[in-house]
Amino acid sequence: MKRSDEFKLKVLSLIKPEIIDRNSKKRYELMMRASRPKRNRKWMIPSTIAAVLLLAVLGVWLFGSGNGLKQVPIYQGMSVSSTLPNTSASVDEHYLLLGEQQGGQPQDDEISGDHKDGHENPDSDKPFGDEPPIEEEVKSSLEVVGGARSIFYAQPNQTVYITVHINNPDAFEILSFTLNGVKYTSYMFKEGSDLENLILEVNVGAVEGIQEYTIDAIKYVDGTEIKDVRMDGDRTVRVGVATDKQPTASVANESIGFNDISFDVVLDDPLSLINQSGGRVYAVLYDGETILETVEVWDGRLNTVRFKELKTNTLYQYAIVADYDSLSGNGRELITLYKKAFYTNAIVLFDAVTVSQEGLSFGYAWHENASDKQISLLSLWKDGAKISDLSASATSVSGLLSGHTYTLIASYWNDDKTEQISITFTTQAKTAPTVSVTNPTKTQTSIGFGISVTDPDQLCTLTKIELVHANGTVEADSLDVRAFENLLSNNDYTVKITYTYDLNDGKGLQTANKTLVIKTKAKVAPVVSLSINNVTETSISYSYTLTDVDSVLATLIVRLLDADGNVIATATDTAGAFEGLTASRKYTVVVEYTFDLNDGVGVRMLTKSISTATVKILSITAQVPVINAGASVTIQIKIEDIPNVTLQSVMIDGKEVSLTKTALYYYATFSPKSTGGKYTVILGTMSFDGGSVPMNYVSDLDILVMGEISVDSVVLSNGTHYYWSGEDVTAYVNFIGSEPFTITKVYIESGYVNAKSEILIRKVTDVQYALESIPTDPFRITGFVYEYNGKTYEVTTNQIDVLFIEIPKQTSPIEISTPEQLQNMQPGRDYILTQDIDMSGFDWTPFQYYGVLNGNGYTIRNLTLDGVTSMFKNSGSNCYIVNLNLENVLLSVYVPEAVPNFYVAILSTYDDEKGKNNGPTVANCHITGSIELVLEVNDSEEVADVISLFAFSRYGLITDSSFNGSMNLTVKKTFQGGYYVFGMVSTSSISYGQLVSGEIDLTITAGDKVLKKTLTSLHETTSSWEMGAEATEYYTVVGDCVYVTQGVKTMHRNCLPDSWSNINFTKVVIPKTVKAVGWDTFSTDSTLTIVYYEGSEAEWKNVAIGGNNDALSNATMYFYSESRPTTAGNY
Amino acid sequence: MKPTNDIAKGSVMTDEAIIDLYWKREERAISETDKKYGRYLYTIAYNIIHDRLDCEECLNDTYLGTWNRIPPTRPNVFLVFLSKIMRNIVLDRFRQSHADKRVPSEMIVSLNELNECMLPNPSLEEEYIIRSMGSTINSYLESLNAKRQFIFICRYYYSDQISNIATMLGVSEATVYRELGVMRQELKKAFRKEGLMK
Repeated sequence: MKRSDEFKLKVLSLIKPEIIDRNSKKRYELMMRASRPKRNRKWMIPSTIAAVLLLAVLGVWLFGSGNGLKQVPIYQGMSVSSTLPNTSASVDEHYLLLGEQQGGQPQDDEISGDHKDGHENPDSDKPFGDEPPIEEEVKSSLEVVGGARSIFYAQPNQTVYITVHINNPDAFEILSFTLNGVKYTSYMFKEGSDLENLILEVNVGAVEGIQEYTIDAIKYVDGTEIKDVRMDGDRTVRVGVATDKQPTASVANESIGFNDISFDVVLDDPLSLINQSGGRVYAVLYDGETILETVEVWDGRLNTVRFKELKTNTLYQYAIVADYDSLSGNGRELITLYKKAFYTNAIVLFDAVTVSQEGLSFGYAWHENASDKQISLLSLWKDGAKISDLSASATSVSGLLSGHTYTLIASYWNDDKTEQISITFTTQAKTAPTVSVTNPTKTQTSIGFGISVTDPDQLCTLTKIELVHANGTVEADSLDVRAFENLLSNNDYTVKITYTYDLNDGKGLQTANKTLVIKTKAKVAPVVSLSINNVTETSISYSYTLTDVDSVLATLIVRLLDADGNVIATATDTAGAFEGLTASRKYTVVVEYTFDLNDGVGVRMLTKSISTATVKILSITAQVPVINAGASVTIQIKIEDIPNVTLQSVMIDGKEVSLTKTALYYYATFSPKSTGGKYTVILGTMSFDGGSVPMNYVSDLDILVMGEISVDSVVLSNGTHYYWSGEDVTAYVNFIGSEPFTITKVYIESGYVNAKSEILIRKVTDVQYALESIPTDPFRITGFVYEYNGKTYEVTTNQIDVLFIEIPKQTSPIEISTPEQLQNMQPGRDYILTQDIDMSGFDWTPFQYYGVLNGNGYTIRNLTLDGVTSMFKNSGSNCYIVNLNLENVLLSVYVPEAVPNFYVAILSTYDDEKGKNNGPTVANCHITGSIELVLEVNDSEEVADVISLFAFSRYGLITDSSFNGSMNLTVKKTFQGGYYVFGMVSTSSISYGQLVSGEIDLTITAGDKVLKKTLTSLHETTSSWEMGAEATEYYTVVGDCVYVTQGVKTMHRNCLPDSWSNINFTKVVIPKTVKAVGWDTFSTDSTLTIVYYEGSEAEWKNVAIGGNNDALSNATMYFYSESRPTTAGNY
Repeated sequence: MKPTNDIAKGSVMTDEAIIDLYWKREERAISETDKKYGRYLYTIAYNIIHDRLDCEECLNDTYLGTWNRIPPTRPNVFLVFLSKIMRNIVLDRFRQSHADKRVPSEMIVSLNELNECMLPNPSLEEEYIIRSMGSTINSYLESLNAKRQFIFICRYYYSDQISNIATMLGVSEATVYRELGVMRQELKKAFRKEGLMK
């Protein structure tokens, strides 16, 4: 087999057992499955085994035939296991004690050959280099003599199981046996024992080495007799208890001669392992190729071994090896107990050999028996050739090359013949020097450096220092130069050091160099920052800043170029202005500067430029130069047109304001300070040919902003808004304002006429003006005119609604002090309270009253209005209620059925629509209390158009009065269709908010919806829509025709689709169930043109039509008809 | 001695029962072993030494070795126990009888295949390289799936013919060739990574 195949097999043999096991089982299964041709093979059992088996069987048969019926049990042997037999883990556990790997380090000796140091202590582990070690050669040359004995390997104190095997076909009961003299009876046998296998648990004990267990006297019971089992098997089993007390060997009295060696072998085998395993001990001699001689050391006692006929001055190795069972689990094997390498004696050896870089010194060590001899010839060799003969007495060689190998051969006479010794040696190599350029430094015009030389053998010589640059190479004047001056900035310079050395290695003088690139520092180019500070229509102001850290600036000039690039003017100052320019022209300011960075490039030039234009401002004015506080000002700017120039930004009062451009003007709107003042307008930038350029045109235009001037109040001289007939009162308009002013006119809208008219005034103080007459109708101040700085300005002021009420003087007023007197008031008479009146428990009945009721500042308390809609009813405009307080009034109404409209008010309301616009006049009347209105509505019914709850009255004039209380409206159905109006008083063309005050806590409950809010205004409207109701169940739309749902009784505006926004329906079909049409259902701006009514004309006349239904009135009516109508009227 | 057919006929005994026969030193242990595993063991031998007579002698030596080892040994997996004895005996026989002969042997063929990935490196100590390669092979084999591991063991441990491996696995011979080629290349990479091969 080839060595490489053997190699592979060794590698493959290391595959883990579990991998082999797993795949072997798989292989067997698959192979058994595969159908394969059968083979013919014979097999045989070795005859020795067969004979034993045959004899055993025969013996049993013979013995058995002796008694004719039963077979005597026959002992057949013992076996040992580590676990109970017949258990799953029954593999024997052998213990493998691996010896430590022994491997000598390769000898790295620069001297080899016949020198004393090398001969004195040769490496005993690996004396022959790569040749096989002696242990390996021993194994291949010596055979293990004798077969392995059956032995069980165990660890100290391990429990093992000894099974006694008995052939017991007739199942006699085994009673006992004796093992090593100790008797064991049946109850001591371990579980698993049967009549043929008696298992005994035994601890091998702590004693290492081979333990023997011998069985004797196996007894069995045959009827009433105790008999001995026939003993046919080996009675002894052996257990090897692993031990580290292995045999050792040493040698004594070693004697090495020129041609032999002798020594005494001293063996120590404390456990007699060699003897017990029948082993042998040998001494072997090895020369690196073969085992030259093997001598058996017989009994382990001191034995003298002598190997003869050895070569003089030659390396050998001997070893003491033993063939024995070390109890490591491997059985008997050859184990090397001792080994040693040695040289046989030489006549002479080189001695005290010392190798240097260029030579060798040496001496000789003569054997004591050869002291009379001497060296006859000495020669030096290299690469197989002689270099020179040396003097026989020489003890040194010099002048050799470094790092080279030589052989020195010495000859001498011995027994009339010439013998030689030689040594081969390598001179030490010299170390090449290393040079480096260190510590580089640099400025803008110079570099510096250092030179570091590492040269242990002092071979280096510096020869040249050069500076290499793109422009050429300069050699330093001397080798001491460590800097170069006057260099260019920002340039790479290479320092090049050239040096030589000779390693004495035969290659002669070597030249080498070392370089380092150093870059000089760069100079910084100057930086110019240019700005345009201001432009006017004839000048451009500029400034620039120059940053020149390295002072490299050569020239700088400022030029002004016109639109064609012609130089108009020049300057050098850091700031200046170009004057006398043509307006509305484009110009460019250019700063041009030159500099030299000393980098070899020469003079550079850079420019910085800004283009701008002379702008002619035609006007900057405020559209409204005087305004009220809080208003904004619009600046109007007009410039002379310059092609492609557009103003971009304007700064007003330090803030940038956006510009809007029209054909003629730019506009900028801003909010001035509230106190007014002067404003500076700066036109910041303009768009110039698409780019943004600075302009900085500063306008000194003043914008004057007045402080606030407004109407504060309009009040009578008695401090109220009413007065008794004949009372001497004056009406005043009070102004507020921070600047001196004079009011020249006040404008009003009077009464219900929305027309501006002037009301005559006269100045009382700077801020108070008296009306020349007191208006009798409500009016609203809408504006005024004032003078300031000689100019007049008209201001649209905040609207002030004013009502001055004249109360008729009472004629013989009747005094009232009791509830009854109050209840019995008569219309047309005047009354005056003389004290507070408590109305608790009084059942009040409303009645019509007109005349003047003067509460005289007294209070009516705890008035309950139960089931009625007001305190007074049908009180017209000639009813006056003055100076009266009502405290804790309760108005409570329950309406059991749907009604078209419903109004309640504490003071006065109307039974019907008549006179509804003529409510009472109320002045200085203050009410606290609440209104409770409950509307019971069936599911099939709708509430009417409007439900209103008022504190005072539905209509009328009310001033200087207040209500504080609550209003609760409860409607028993979510969708009622109508509107709810709540408040102090009903709607009117003029509000009186400033004259009537108070708070109303409002709660509306409609079905399952609840709405809560607090009112402070005069009145507020809400609807069932806001309460979450849906209207679609009241109508359907087909094309431009609205079909009102059958069953609807009352139509109102929310029963039509979006009637407020006039959806373009032109026809409506009204069912006969409709009994009423609410207010404003079809207003004038409705698109309704045709009405189809599903009843007769007579029935239609019974339908109540509310106000503001002009479109309905004007529509063409079709009534129900049996035949198709051809004209309006019937269908 | 009666010659017996190596292919199991009829019922075969369990391993336990056969081992028990060895423990009882009953001759039938050998015939039962041969009946159950004879053919299988024969293939191990025949892959290595293509000589029928030699194979039969090795088989007999295996039974003798088994008889000598049981007791005291009680093998855990009898089949594997027998296989290892058989392979060692056959390898020894191969070394002794064929040391200098060029004999037809599937083992030599399979070992030659490994030339591309497993050769001694003269710059390294042989014992070291053998141990290192053994360790690397184990790591590599453990990384393989069951099928590839099986192919590798069959081919390079048991020296099975490619055709037989293909038959056992029910795949084409080309598949087995391809798998073996890939595994040799992977193994070569693994050895190179460990510095065991150039």
